[in-house]
Amino acid sequence: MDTLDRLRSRSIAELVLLITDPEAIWNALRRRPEIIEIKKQMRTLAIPQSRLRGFVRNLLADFRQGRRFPHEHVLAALAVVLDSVPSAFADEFLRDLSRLKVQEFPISPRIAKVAVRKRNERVVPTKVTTHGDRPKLAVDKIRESPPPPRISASLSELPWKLAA
Amino acid sequence: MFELVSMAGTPERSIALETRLKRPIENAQSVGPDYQTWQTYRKHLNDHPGWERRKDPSGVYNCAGLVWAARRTAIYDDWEKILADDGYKQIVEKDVRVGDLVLYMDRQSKPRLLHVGVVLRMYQAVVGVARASSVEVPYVLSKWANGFGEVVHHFNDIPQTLTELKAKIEFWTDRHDQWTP
Repeated sequence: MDTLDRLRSRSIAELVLLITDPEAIWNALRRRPEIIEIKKQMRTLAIPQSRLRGFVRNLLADFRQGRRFPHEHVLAALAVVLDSVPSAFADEFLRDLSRLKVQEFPISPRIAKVAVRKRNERVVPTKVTTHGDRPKLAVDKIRESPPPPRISASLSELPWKLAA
Repeated sequence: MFELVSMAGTPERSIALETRLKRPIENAQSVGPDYQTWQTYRKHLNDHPGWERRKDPSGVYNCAGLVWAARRTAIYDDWEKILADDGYKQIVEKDVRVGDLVLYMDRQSKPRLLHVGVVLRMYQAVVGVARASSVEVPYVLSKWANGFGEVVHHFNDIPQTLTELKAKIEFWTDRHDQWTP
């Protein structure tokens, strides 16, 4: 059995079906052993992006207009797996799924939105702070000194001086 | 990645829905259940012989849509806003009356909603053997999933999944005025 196929489990399907609040689904999914295991494998790069892409493509082959998508729980679980994975595929998957607005996918885009929010919260913002006066460096002395005389100005004086 | 689905799928539809304080409530209707969801629903009916069926499966609304949107649409996120704006308050089990709400919450530090149902009737149950006494037990009208049907059940007769999550059961009411004729 493929590791990713563990995301098709009945327990995951029940959680995604029965729980109302997307954040509660996210909380419940992230504690599932299948998800913890696959997250671990993602960290060791055991699952290549091409395999993930193929896995999603196979799922989407079962899409039928007018009927709820049968693998919604798998996409929701994959969103939870990928929310802490720094990869181009994870970015693309979470962004595209969270923007999906079709009636056949009522839940998974909402889980992807939660996953994107959690992912963004993990990014540490860069902030520059200065703590009081620091000792002056050589570069500061150069900055504070008056600018040197312009070369062009001294050249313009040259013919006058010669004439004198 | 989902371009084809986005083009071929049925565009999401929501309706105008507001709290009593006129704050918008995010909602979405969806299509009917797939075969697997039907099968899961049937399994739950078999596992819970005490569930009384009221209505066959529908995808238009979920549990929160049944309770707060009169079966017109599904509500996923805005339940906290509704509880606050619509004047609900938490009560203890002995004060529960018909029409009050039962909320099943998770056990996180900031609790989130797992499921909500409305108390449909109070059932007289006898407890104890030597010194038997009767208590009133709430029976709840529920729609356990977006693609499930509506059922009436004992407030503690819940799917195994919620039992495993150690769902916390809360009772809420919108009754707070002392009405005098």
